[in-house]
Amino acid sequence: MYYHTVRGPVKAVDGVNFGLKAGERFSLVGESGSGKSTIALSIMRLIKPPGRIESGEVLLDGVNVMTLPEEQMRQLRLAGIALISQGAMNSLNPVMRIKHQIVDGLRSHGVQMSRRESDDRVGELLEWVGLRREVADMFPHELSGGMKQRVCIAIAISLRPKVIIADEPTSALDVVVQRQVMETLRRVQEDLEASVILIGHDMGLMAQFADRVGIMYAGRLVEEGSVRDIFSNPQHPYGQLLMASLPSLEKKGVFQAISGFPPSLLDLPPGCVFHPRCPYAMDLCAVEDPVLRPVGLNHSAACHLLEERQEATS
Amino acid sequence: MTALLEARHVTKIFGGGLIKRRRTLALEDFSLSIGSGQPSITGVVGESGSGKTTMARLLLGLESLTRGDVLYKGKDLRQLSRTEWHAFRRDVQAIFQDPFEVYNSFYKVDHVLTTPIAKFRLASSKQESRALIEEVLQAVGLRPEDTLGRYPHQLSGGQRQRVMVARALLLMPKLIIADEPVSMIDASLRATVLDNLRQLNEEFGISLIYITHDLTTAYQISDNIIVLYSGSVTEAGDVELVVGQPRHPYTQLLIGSIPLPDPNRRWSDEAPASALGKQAGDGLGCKFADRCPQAFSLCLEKAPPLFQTNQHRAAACYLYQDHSPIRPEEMDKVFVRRTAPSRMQAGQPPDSLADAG
Repeated sequence: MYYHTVRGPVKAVDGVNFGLKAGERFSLVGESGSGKSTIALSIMRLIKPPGRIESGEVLLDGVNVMTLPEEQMRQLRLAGIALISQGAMNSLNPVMRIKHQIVDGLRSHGVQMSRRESDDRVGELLEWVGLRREVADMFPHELSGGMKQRVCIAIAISLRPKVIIADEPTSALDVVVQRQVMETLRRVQEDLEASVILIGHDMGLMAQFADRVGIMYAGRLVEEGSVRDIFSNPQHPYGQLLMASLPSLEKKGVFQAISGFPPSLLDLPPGCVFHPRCPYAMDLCAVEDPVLRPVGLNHSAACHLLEERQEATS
Repeated sequence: MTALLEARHVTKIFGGGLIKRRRTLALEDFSLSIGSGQPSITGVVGESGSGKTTMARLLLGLESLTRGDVLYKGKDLRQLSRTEWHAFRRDVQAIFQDPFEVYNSFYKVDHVLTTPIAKFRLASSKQESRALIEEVLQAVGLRPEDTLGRYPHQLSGGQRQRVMVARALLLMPKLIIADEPVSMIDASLRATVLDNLRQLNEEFGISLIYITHDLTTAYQISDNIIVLYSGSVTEAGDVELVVGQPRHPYTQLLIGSIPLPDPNRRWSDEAPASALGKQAGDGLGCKFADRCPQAFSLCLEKAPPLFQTNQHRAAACYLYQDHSPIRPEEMDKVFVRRTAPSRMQAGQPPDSLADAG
């Protein structure tokens, strides 16, 4: 996925591969500008010019979403893959009652309902996400942030999608409310047996929620593995440094920053994108871009250092 | 010894006028004094709407008080003379959350550094001014040649915030009030800004009031911590005690809700429900009563005072009513005073200070 700008293509996401099992919770983490939100938009085919998907496929049950006709794609959004975008709660229509906003999505996907049926359906959805039925008749400004975000979850699950993409769903919420919203999301996801792609920068949230974690850096997926492997045994130097940069609530002074700055996506360094900040960088790193390779069971990382280590042991 | 900056029974109510009838109690009977002796770092944590930013603005003299006083060196902020106000503006510096907003995007970054130099006549020549700027930039780990002459959008959020720290350092203040200084900065760079702030405290003896919603960074940097809920102090004291063994049900809920970056220690099951439900709301009792899992009838009748549960901690909760109550202005007497400059490494286990009773 490149954004074409006057100053050349911005390689927002480059060569990212991952698979998602049914019912799995997968997290994509990365700093700002690492391409994590772009992945969400690419999967939904919601990239707008100057952005363009250059190549790649997104398979849902073996069907390539990228080549579907636009009308079929429209049907697939919400019904097959639902997106809870960043700040979704602020995209609720302020002059429309909650129930109409929920029914809107259903109607546009061809669900025919009487008023009675639609009220029932809305009530069930609201209760499902832990809200009272009366919320249906309210306007967004009468709800708290956490309640609005639950309404967005209710909309997202209204057509029982197979995949829910949640892009920083709680970034504007307080921790207590955040926890409640994440628990709601987990509960409905388990009820639906849907898969979730959770996108965010808060490593704590990922550790609490995900089964599997992918770490993004400058548009690449640099490491991927089970949540336990990623947190207790990170292999990529960026993964390791990222873990070391997390402040603890138990011991003081045991976190460090990563030196240097993330690269500009217009002007990526040659070779490995992380090498200018990497403490273990070798000559090879400035020349050749490493590919994602297995470093353990269901655990892979893109680093020349690990390839070398593997060759030494085999 | 008079305190450098002191808030006495400060209350701020927004609204309540002719046009906006609804009154919002942003901060109620808040007292805090920052001494001019040993440098300290005081963390103030709270969720949105807890009154933490209002507190910062009141302490900086940016907001008018509804009740109470803010004193600078024992003198009411409203009665400072021009020269005293000038001195106050220099001694007490602010760092705000958004490292975009403080810059005028038409000026180069240098502008935010040269302005205070001119305003406070810190340098007598261009060369001297330049040397001063280079010195403070280096002190916060920025390379002057990469920073000066650039426009704000050419720097990252972390760099911009470090320039603000450098600007504060330029004036060699006695106190910096930092309101969410790292919340808009990526995790990998956050530690650097926190380090800079800690360094200002340790090397230059500047006190810091660190305001945040993020308990983890507050824990990392503070000596003492104040937890605000809905405009009132719920718990205050030694950060090790408050974070390690929270006493107030709200602090317990807050700390229990933090997502720890450890998949082996996930959130326990659903947060406990409130004991009294939605009965509260007349505003007389404890503000947390309607959400509190341990509330009882007394909590609805009267707001709890701070009870000193331990030498270094006070909690505003009737669960601790057999401990002696303290007045709001005595809150800081429970604070730990740093003896050695590096309390950071002391790492005393909180168990050894376990609360009596």
